[in-house]
Amino acid sequence: MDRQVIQSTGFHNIKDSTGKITGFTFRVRLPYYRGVYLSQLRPGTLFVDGEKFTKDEITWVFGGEEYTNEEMAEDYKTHWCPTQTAELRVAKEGGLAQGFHDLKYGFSFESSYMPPFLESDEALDPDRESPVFMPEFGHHVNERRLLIV
Amino acid sequence: MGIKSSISLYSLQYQYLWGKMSLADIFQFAKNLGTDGIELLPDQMLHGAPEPEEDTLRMWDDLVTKYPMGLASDDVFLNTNLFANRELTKRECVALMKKEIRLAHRLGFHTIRMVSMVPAWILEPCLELAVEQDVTLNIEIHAGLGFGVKKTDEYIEEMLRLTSPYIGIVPDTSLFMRRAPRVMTEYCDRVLGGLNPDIVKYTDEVFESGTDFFQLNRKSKDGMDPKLKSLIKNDADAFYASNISGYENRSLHELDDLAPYIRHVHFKLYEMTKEGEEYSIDYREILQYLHDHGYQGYVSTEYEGNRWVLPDHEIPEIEQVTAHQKMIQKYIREIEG
Repeated sequence: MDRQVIQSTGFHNIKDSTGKITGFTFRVRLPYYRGVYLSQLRPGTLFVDGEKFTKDEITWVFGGEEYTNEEMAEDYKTHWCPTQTAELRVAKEGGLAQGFHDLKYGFSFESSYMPPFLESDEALDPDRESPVFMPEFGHHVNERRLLIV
Repeated sequence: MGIKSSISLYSLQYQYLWGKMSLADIFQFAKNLGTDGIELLPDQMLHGAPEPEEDTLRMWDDLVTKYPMGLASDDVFLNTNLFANRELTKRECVALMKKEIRLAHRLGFHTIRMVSMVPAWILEPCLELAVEQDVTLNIEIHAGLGFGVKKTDEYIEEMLRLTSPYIGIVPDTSLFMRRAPRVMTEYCDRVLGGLNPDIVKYTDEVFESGTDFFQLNRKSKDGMDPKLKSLIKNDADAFYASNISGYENRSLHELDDLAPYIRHVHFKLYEMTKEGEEYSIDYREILQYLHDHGYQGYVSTEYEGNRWVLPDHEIPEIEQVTAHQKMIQKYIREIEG
């Protein structure tokens, strides 16, 4: 696992059973030592080379189970353990071209002892940094340049 | 048996996260240091907590059989914010805390540390089970979230009303800092683009004068000491000012009335110096105080300097925890004879 949130492994196009490329996938780690329940996650927007993908166009995979944004918001029993990465799947017909791509992705989460001013919807906006960065909770928005071959 | 040493496994979180140390390696490490006990965060290291699967529990049983260690504290967090659209109801919170009490008992712990800000009303409905399971419930009193903060004050009031041997406190030594952590200052200066030297100088003066920004900020209408505010010239200064306000410089005597309720203590570690002392906290003073007040529980290393390690530098958890434990054990021997 990389120290950066967006992982250097796991970035590639995905195909359906007929071999057609239907999208791409990449992996992230959770920058928080205790882990969170899926309902505590606040998934945000992905930009790949400036192209925008909303949270509803992205599914998350934990331990082989795939979840939509809506399913995660209601799932207070599945725990994302920080030693496991999550796989994000993004629908995009034809996938991404070979070569380097600039990924920018935001997600945030709530934690039981967050100071109240960091718990407002505005402070938890996954697409913007928190008003006060606290290293133990990591950054909301992370960027990385990755290669498709 | 007097005061006992412990390591919170929070201190070794990156060794664990990056796969450098397993739980067994961590137990062995603690044993080799001569540490009396360990403190566990089940959320972090026991998959499925507070209801882990049978095989996870068996793995734990094997560990504590193979590496007999004192089980100093089980660290519990109450996820009242489990949902985006509402807080957990009181009934849900009580049910969750009861699961944690049962798990603590199952794992062999007799002490639960509840994170700061856990609501005081959780105590009475959980007390009967706590007694039955022989597990004490104790709130952490941490700088920035401690004395003078509504939820903590309410907890103390409730604890004094109930006066049960099963309800107590876990003071964190971030309440008793005599200097700002140098590693935090360096991080702000080097990573965030340079600090105004005057803000660092002023901070030193404030701590030397025996107070801190948590207290000074509270005297100001807008929540920040005017001079601290006036010295903020850039983003690094703003970040520094916000962080520095979370470290307190209180007298140990503020604990006098609560001393009988101390069930566990977090010994914060930001930076061990080459001389074998913690840079910000006088641990001889603290251990002497605890000894003089008849404290017989664990004091547990909690390495928080990890978050201020410069990017692309190894996090020196092993070295820092080792040095901290040596210092703690030395002072316990000297004080207790």
